[in-house]
Amino acid sequence: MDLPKCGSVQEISNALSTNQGSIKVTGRLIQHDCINRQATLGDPQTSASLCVDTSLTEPLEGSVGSLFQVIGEVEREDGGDTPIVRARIMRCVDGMDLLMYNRALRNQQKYFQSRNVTLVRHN
Amino acid sequence: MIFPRESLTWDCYCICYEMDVEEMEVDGTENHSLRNDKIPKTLCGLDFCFHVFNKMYIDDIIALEQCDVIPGMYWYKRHPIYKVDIMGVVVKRQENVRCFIYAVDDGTGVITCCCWKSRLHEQSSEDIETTLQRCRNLPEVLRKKMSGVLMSEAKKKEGYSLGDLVHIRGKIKIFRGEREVVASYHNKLEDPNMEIVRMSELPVLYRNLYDVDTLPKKVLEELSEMSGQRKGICHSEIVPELKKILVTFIEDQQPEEISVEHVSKIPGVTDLLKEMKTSEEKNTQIQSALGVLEGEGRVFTKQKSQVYGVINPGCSMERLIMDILKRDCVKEKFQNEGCHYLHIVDEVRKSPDYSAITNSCVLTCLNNLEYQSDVIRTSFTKYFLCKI
Repeated sequence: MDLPKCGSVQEISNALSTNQGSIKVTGRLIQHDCINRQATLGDPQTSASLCVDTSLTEPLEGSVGSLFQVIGEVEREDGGDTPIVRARIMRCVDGMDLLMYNRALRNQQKYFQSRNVTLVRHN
Repeated sequence: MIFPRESLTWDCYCICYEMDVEEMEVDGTENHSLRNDKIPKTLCGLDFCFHVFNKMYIDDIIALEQCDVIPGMYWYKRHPIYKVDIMGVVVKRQENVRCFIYAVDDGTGVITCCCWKSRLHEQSSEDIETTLQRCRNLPEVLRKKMSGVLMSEAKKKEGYSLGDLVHIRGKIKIFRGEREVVASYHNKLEDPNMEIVRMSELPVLYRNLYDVDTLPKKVLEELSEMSGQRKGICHSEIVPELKKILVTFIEDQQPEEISVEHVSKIPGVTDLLKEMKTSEEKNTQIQSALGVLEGEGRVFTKQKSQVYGVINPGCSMERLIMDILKRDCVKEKFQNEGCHYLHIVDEVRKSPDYSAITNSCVLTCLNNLEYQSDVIRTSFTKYFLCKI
């Protein structure tokens, strides 16, 4: 069965710098254009924002101002600096504690890094 | 807008705090040679990971090593795992006649999950409205409850949709060449903070449970030693095998004496011990086998160290015992019931040849004499001569 690629969890600021692959970002919906199927996701703490292409996920449940989690592929426009996420899944996560989420995410990443360290040691 | 429950946030906070305080570096001083050895099949049940639904990263579940000894079992480092507990977002949904197949993504990997449909749902094709109509006579409270139950059942029938956070527990199976989880429990989670709880729990679990061995280090070292020498037969099995060969040899050939060198030349023994490199190791194995036989009473050590006398029917110790009995059974003390076997042992030990003989050897000899009808066993411990 062809499985979709796993979305590695990223913060919006990291997502802006990754090149390719599937990611999962959480942010607040700043703007939503149904007709052009575009949305903008913003990080509440930093002011970074990310463009999302919502062709696969229209109609969206939820309004501007809600927290959303997006899983999709990052693509860069030809010659452009701004990456755009082709969303496969848009999930409304209103009520999620973002501070805790970021903390848990950082701890998870630290754990994965420590795993890689031990692997390297034994090689 | 859904507000998180206060207690839940507190739990998250506690777990995160615990993690920050812990050291981030995993102990890299593990013995590298122990890493690849697995617990033997019989000891798998000692590990708690064998019994529970293990909360793991989907990435690790996909990368689990299959166990060749037990079907359906997988290894994570040295833990046997066959049931898992995952929480993730549904990224692909497929409905079949009998089941739903979802692809679940938790941020580290994607795995398919198979959720079987309830057979009851197939049968009842009634609409909610008609069912409620039938329950007109019930009191108001019960009617409300009924409609609530019917609604939730209808929801369950539809299955989960893309983007739902689901919690699945089930066994790992291989279907059409790919690993999947066959769900025995599945539920949709409404509260998005549950994801945070799981994300916080997992590194703690991994550090304290999965990356750590259940059995103490010494036990593992012994096990790895045993399996290291295994190229056919386990270290602890060599001695019983040797013993069997020796017993057949003794019964066939009935030698008076047997020496360690003699034993090492028996063809069966040379095959068994060919993996051992030094002759010292071979000798220790042979000596332990002979020691076992001595405990059983088939052989006894003679004065020269490497030579063992064999207790066969017709050996010289029999004559000695017969002499002892002839001498003592006439005495008043032993006239009624015969000699106690320990008394016979003491008397045998008085002679220089058999000074260090074991009780079991004397007993074997006495049994042989009994088979030949030369002595009779009057009670559990006493022996008497048949002919004086």
